[in-house]
Amino acid sequence: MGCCYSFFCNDDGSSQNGEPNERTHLLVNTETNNINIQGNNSDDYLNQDVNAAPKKTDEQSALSRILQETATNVIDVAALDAHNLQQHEYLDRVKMYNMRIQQVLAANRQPYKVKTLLLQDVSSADKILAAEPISAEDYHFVTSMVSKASLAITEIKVEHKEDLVVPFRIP
Amino acid sequence: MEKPLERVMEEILNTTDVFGCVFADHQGLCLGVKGRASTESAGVIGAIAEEASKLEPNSRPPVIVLESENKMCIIQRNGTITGAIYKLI
Amino acid sequence: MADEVKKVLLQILNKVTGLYCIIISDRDGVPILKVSNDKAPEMRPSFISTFGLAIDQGSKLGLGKTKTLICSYAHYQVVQMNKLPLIVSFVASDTCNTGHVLALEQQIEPILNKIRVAVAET
Repeated sequence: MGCCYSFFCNDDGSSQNGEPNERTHLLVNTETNNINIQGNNSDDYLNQDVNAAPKKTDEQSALSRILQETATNVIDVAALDAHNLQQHEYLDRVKMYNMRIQQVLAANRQPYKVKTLLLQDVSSADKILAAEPISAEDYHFVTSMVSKASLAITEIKVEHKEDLVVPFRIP
Repeated sequence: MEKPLERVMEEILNTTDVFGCVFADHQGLCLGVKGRASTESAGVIGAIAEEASKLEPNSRPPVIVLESENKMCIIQRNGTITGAIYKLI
Repeated sequence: MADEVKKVLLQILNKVTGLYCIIISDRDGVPILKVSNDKAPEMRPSFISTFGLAIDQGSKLGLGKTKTLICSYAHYQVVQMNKLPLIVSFVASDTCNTGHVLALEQQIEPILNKIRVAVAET
């Protein structure tokens, strides 16, 4: 991942120096393509485009867009602990939620109940309660099947098919 | 890999009146399901077997039958796994 | 009224053996409702908020939106559910029935629907 970023940074430098190589060309192409696509859905970008000097900013914003796109597609584990709330902000929010909850729950006052479904689908409970609990046949069927399944499950093994960790072939 | 279990479940479903079965591991996670049964029920089935076996901790795990008017659900634990079979009465 | 909802949550908590704590929080890990028993460990707020970031990353795996995250530790397990703008976290013992905790999703849903309004107004 780090390599991805450094790749783009290097590229940035070379295109600004005006040294044309196969990568510069590629970037110009993506840039023009992207303007059409991105211009429609990003207001920010439109504004930037109007205000700034045309050529250089175009290139730069194209680059930063590529960076951004890469960042959204890459699974960035390092970014996971970047964000933290301030202590006072946290406490404020706790207080606010406490208030809100009281309000919201007071507003719809119908008491919340856990649905009890016991005997709901049974019309004549007495008949069922008086019946034989389980036939011997069913009992043996269940015990034998469960023990068979238990045996079958011990045979479950992970079959190694391809490597989970694959080294990228970076020249 | 899981072929033997598939075969057992096939066999269970081929029995008359049986319309579904589900197997859960010791964590209540679904190992296999076939027929009209849901993977989500695996956890609850594991919990029922666990609680029921606490009634008589010294004897073998019990067979539990949940009955409704026309269907029943038979649950049993065997070792670490729990199986449930759904059957028409 | 909030006490009543807490009571229902506590009932749910007590139904599952080994479940220590249920926290309903917002995206940043700020708790909105919390019920726990005496065995519940102290949770740092950043623990829950990490989930909000982790599901963003998880959805890039190409398997669709992240729904639940189960973390297994030596002494505890944590099940977190994506109910944005809410996050529901269950803290349980390592031996607790994970499937049973996952099945609580259905039971907890009506409570969430009410609470969601409180967060949505922000």
